[in-house]
Amino acid sequence: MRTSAWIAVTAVSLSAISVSYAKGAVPETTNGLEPLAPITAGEPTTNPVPEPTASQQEPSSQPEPSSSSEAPAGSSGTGTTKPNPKPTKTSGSDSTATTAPKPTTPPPPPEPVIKTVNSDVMTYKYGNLQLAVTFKDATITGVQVLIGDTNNGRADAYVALIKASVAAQGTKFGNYTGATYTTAVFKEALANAIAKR
Amino acid sequence: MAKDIYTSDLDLQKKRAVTLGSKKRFKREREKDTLEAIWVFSVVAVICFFLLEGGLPKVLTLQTILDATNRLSALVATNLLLVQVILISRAPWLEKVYGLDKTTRAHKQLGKPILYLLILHFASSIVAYSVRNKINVFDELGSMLGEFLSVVAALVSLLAFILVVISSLVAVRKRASYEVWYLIHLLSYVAIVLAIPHQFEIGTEIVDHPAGQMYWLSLYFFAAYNLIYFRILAPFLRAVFGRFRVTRATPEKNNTTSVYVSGRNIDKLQAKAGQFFMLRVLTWKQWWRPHPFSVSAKPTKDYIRFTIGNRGDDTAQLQNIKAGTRVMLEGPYGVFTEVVRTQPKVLLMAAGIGVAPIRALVASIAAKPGDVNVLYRVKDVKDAALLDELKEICEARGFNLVLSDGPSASERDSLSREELEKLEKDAILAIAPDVAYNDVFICGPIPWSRSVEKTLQKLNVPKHAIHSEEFAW
Repeated sequence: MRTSAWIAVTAVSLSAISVSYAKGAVPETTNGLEPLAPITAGEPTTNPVPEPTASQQEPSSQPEPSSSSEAPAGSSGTGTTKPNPKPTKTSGSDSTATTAPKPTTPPPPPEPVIKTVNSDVMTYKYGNLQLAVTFKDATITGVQVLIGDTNNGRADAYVALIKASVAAQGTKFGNYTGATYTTAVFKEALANAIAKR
Repeated sequence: MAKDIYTSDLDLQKKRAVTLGSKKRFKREREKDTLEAIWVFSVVAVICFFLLEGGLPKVLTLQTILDATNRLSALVATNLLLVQVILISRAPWLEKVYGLDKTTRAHKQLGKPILYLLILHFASSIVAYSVRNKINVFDELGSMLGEFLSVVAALVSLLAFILVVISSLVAVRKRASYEVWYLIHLLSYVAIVLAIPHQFEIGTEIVDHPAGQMYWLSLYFFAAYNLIYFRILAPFLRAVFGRFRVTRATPEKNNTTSVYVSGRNIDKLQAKAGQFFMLRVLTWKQWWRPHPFSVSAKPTKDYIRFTIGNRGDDTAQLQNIKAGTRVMLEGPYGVFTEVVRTQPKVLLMAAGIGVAPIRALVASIAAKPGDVNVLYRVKDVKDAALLDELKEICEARGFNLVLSDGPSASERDSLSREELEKLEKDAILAIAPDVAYNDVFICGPIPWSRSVEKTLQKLNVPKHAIHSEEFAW
């Protein structure tokens, strides 16, 4: 390559890299997920902070809720985790979700069935993970972490993974860098809950 | 015999003019710059996608640095690996700009850097995870291998790449046979495929930029297309449908044979004088081992002629090739043609069997009488292949032909570099005193070519006017 061309290419490359860094390295990255947000106005996707800690959740009580008969929206499968204010907020928004879409959706369709399914408790490297997945008919509207380790940035991973699972309506999303094992077990639990629905 | 070959050459060349001048050179330089800029930008794009995803956070800790190293080395290595595949695909759009020897050299040069990046990726990923999990690296490696089958495949892939690079080191290649090198090299395709699952299972970003995904998908497909189509499918289909076969093999002088290959649509290959083909003889012993041979006469509608010297190895067997033998032709390759010529005056220098492309150029080059000088170096006049043809054509076209014989420099140990240079200078200046304003085409054994190139530079011939291609690799 001629020197002049080389200088030009280097200049363009360096500026592109530095602009990318400046845009990308902002602490809060804006992910291209917004357009894919679910019908429920994106509310539940932002809410489910993985507060519930593994310690208070005894697996013994968990495998059962899979019956998940709580069809009426209100309580959702998170009944056992009530100590935290946030999950209840989620369930609240879920209930509003049931009423909200009504005016907008055409009248003929029957009442959408809101249903929350708890996955089995998955055991992996960093302890256990259990998810509660909320469905409106067949659509995943929200995911909560019932049991799960929150150390080492895994709390952030849950937020991103929940977003991704709602956006993808399933397990077809990529890996959360730095939480590879958690991503894998999260997908497993999600698939389990979907299968149980 | 010779007559019918070059008269057809002459007819053809009368109809063609050739573009000359520095504008042509700059145009070629621009083409090269563009292609090189594209590949630099492809690497830059990958880095940008990574940064836009927030790959390198503002706050740098050991953990984030390790994570970033891990991902970035993998991304850049993958990108370069695909560039490497494209380089070896022999795609015409690339080959016609650089020539096959240059693209192959670039392919070779990329080998080690890619391996280092892959090893860096392997090491940093293990260390990054082990730091995060606060366990030692061996436990971490074990647990990753146990957890993800795709990581096992990727590790096998890395080992295969290491083997491929080791087998391609100059020192190893000198000792090991071509067969061993070739078989090991095929592993690299296996390695590329084995590495793909872990890229998808754990290598993807949770929120990939759609542009990034598109980029990778297109790059993979583009590399695969070039490799499969140009390297394998096109020559194969041409050979099958054209029924390419040897129609005649005529012994020329001691240890040289002219081989005529014919087939349907053989003129569609559009080989130019000075170009070469990879000739694949479709016999059980030789089908997987092609050899490069220059076209030694302007190709006609009916046949392409190669003149093959006996250098031991497979070329010895080719001396006795039977008419009717099926062959495959890959090519035409090379820019040892008028494509790179910018001056009206031309000096053609051949040594030994390197005369083949020179012979083709002499016949078809667009030039006035006196504009072309030919210097033909042989050990023994009795072995000078194609000499009669050369004499005839040069006489007919008014070109100056000088034959110099005697043992090669390597056989005359007494000769120092200075003395050799003096001899070469005298020989060149005797035939072309204005060599500094000539385009010089050199074809012969590598040590001889290198020596002549050096001498020419001492005679103020600019680098861009010296054209020499390597046929042995």
